[in-house]
Amino acid sequence: MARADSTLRVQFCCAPDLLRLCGNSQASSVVDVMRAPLPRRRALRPFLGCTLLSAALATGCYSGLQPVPEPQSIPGEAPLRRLTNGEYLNTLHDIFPDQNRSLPALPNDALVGGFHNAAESQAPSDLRISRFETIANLYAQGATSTTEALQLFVGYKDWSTPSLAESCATHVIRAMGGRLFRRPLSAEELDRFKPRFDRWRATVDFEAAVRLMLSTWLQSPPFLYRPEPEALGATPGAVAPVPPYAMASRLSYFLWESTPDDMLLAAAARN
Amino acid sequence: MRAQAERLLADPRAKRVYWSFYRQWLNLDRVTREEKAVRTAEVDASWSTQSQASTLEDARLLVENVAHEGGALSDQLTCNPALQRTGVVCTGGARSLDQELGLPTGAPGRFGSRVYGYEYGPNAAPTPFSFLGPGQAAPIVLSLAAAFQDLLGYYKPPTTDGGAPTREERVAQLRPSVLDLAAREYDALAPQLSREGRERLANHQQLIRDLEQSLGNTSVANCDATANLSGHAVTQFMRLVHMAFACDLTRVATFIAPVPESPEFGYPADTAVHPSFAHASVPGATSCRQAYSPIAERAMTDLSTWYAGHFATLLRELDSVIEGSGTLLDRTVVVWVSELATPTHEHHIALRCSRAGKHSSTRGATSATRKRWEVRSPICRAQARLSAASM
Repeated sequence: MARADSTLRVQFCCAPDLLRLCGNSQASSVVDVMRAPLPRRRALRPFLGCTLLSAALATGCYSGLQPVPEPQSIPGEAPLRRLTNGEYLNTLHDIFPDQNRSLPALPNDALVGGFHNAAESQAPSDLRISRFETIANLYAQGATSTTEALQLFVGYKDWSTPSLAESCATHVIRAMGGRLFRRPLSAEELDRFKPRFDRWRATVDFEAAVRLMLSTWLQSPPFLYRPEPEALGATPGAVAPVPPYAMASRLSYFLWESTPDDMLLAAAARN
Repeated sequence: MRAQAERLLADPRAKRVYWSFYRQWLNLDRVTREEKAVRTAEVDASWSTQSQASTLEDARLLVENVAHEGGALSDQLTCNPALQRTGVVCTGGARSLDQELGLPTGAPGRFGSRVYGYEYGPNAAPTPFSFLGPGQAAPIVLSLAAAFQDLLGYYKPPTTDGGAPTREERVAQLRPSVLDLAAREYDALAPQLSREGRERLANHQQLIRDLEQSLGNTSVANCDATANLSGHAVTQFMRLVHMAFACDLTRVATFIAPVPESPEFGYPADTAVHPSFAHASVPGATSCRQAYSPIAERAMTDLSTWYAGHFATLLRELDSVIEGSGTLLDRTVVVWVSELATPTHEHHIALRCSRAGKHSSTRGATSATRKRWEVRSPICRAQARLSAASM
């Protein structure tokens, strides 16, 4: 019988649970051979694994296993994912570490295959949208509730004169918008946000404008979702590289279930 | 060989083999031998004549779906697709009836179904009643203040002194502007996404626009958008439902009543409904090693009377709102569902369902919705009746 070595690869993986499930000594010895890294991050159905093993045993195919080339990476779809409840709350906590709030409950995320993050199950509801708004307002209010809190949040000490306020506003939109959207804002986005910020500032005051802008961002798709925009002119369905900032988000939400930190965003900025 | 194997698998006869295999593998026939923990003659009769065959049939349909109709096992186990059907207890495999009714009666400025009250957790396991979608239990708003805020958000009753608005009021008045800007961001992003992504964002955006339109939507006759925090907590919630309906903030609401402390319905504080009374209330029952007690039976009857009193409070609240030539109650269907099928004990197999009010104004759902709820199991049967009555 062939033995496992670093060059042997098969096209599926047997998890330890599968070994117990299959539970036969002959299978186990075969599984030793078949133990291999997952070519894709997907769980194999146990009974399917058993079926394959059984088929291998029945036909004696195991003895014919041959070293095969390292599997090629298989591009997958990149659906538009909304932050799960856990990701959403972790993100808020990491962006507003000084706010420890009691929040209204969000509707459950639907479990699909044992996980909460299946994009196809993330349909919005009026209740979810309403709760997103309530929570956005709570955090926005908390971040701007005192002068000290706002100074800490925006990184500016003084916006008492028109020129200081103008400079601070631009800084806030660039810095905080980028932090919440997990990428630098585009020129078009700046052009959309700045006039509204100025209008709110004129209607109430600078603090209120920051608060309302924060609330807006916390309800906007670049915050609530993880969009990976298709390149202009790209053929639908074509394979495309993941842009640096999108990759940073993939990494951080995969490993932290939260937003990228400054270091990761800086790495993304360096491509 | 492959062609032959595929041909054989495509034949309907292969389904029998699949079913036979799974029936053996999962030892499904044990459902015909299993005994219920709570034994009464009624339970036994129901279990043997209905539930066993229904359970087996469910399993067969699951196997058929996975093996032959492209279904995934994970989907079945997590209720992702709705497979609500005859004989299946409603476990959140689809939107629940209140949410179904909330969709056609909802509108911009009017929420879908809302769920208030208390967690229901028999045997320490929270058991939701309302589902927004497959596997998505609707959160229960537990406090009156939170429920009020949930319905009205930043709404502030108009000031009557004519003074200038405060800074906080001016900020609140800009809430539509915030929602408008957020909604516009969905337009900005959509062109960069796939078709599926655009559709998802469009759905989200529409809900934001609906919320935007809902702001300040309490200028309805008979609407007193204030919270009355006096009286029993259940009474407060009854008034909240009154306010929500009178102000037309929602047209469907669910209230889950608490299990009260014993003194609330006239019994000693060192007793509790379930351990002290429920199992000992049925003559002849021996569940949980409790013998029948006439006091326990009386206590369960008094408990039902306690619930009925609160139900009556809700009816009075709704009847106090004049609408057209009648009252709000005339245009509402109010349903009280209790697991206390007889007044004396919990019987999930013979659900008691009381209905009050007329129901002429509830607009219909689709025939598909109707079909989904044509079911036989006791709980679902009650919902089916309600559904039919509401259409």
